[in-house]
Amino acid sequence: MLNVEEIRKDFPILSREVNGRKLIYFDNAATTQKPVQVINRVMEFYMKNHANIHRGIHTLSQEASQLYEEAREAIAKMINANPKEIIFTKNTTEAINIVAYTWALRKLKRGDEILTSLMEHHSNITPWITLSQLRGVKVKFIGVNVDGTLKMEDIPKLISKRTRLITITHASNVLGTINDVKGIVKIAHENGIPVSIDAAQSAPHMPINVKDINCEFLAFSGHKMLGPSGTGVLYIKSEILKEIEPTISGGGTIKNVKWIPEMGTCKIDWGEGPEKLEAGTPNIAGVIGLSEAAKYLMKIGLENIERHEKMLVEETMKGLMDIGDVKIYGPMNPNIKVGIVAFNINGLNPHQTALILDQYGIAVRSGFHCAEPIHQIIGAEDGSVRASYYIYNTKSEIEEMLNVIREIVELRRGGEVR
Amino acid sequence: MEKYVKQIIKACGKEADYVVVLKMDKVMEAIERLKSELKGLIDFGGLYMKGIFNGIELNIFRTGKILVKGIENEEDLKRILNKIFS
Repeated sequence: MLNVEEIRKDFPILSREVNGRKLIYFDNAATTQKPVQVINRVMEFYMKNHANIHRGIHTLSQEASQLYEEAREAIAKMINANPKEIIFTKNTTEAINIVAYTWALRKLKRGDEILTSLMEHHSNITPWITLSQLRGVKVKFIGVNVDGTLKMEDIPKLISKRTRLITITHASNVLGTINDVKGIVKIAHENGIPVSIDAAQSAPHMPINVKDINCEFLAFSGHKMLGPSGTGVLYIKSEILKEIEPTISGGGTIKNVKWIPEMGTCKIDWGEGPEKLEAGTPNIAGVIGLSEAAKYLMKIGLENIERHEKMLVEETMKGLMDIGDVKIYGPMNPNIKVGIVAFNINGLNPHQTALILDQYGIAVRSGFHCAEPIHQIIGAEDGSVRASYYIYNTKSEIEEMLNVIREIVELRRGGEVR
Repeated sequence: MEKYVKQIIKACGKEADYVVVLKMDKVMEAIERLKSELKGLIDFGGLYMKGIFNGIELNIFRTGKILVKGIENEEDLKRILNKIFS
């Protein structure tokens, strides 16, 4: 069980008012709020240890380097990886783009195929469409059932001899649907295909074990798991990482760069570890803050977080169904969802609903949430309202949101809201 | 328009929707202007008001945000806002 009241004390922003009401923050799928532990860690780093990493032999640089590498260890521990398999990025989007423009760009040939799904965030669609234009590869899409689950049975049918990668979301950022990524990896590996997982909506909310999933790539955002903005993670299985050469290169990515006079050029030997994909000075303070966020989450326990969010999702769906005149999208079983509920009030545009809720200090997202194809599939062509939860959200906050929705629906029934 | 409008946000959806954020100290004055300029103005139980200007639907919220639905682009929106607030 989570002690939510104790947890809330760690988040200063939750005590502020928005539009004259106490803030209720339900936009956690976009980004989460930060606890004082993370804020203080970043501040402390700048006040006590700040220097560039991996370059200096002076004490401050050594301290900063050590803290940065300890962050790699903390993140690795969180997903049961080896620290040498952890690459720090600025977000999930950049991590997926690294897979596309380092590994895939060099590995794939014209006519090769990539399999993704219609449930993806645009960030796991657009890099592959761009790659298809650059490399002449084909992108195929796994369908989604009406209930918002993935058409798993389509995967073997869509795999061909030319399939070179399956890239799939672990949890939908719109519907919250959790996909059976372990099952997908099994099917993929039986066909010799590597798998890349977008874990932006899963890694902050449930235990992740990359060894158990056995995927080749896994990407997630630090800022969606209490970490600072501009932080993200890409896990790459060690045997794959060994063969990757960077596309974005420069300081930190190389072992050495030698001038060969007889050839009139420089010869590059790339670094071997994760730093070869972290060109230039990284977001050192952010990464150290992220490390603190990972420790904070591990202390609470990802399995406890998962249980708490399922309770909040169940509460929301039950409440919305009781009110009626509300369309809920995605699976109705909270056990196959992360802490996300997408819905629309019948006859109201999602932005109207979000702006009404905003008047009560309730922050939800409205629109397509950077995932337009899935909205076409579920028949929400105007988009949806998305309430997404985290460790600091409570049942009473949900009740407050439901009260406003009840008010809107009752006014609509009385013909007062159109 | 500059006197009243702080920010314009493009909201995604089937139609091109925009959210206009009014300057905090001008909200009441701007809403009075809107109320006098919009046709068919309806108050929906105090939750928001809706009216039409030049065939475009404007939804006014008490937070000083206006949802403008079905407008082609930001330039057209600015033209409309300039007419309302001139």
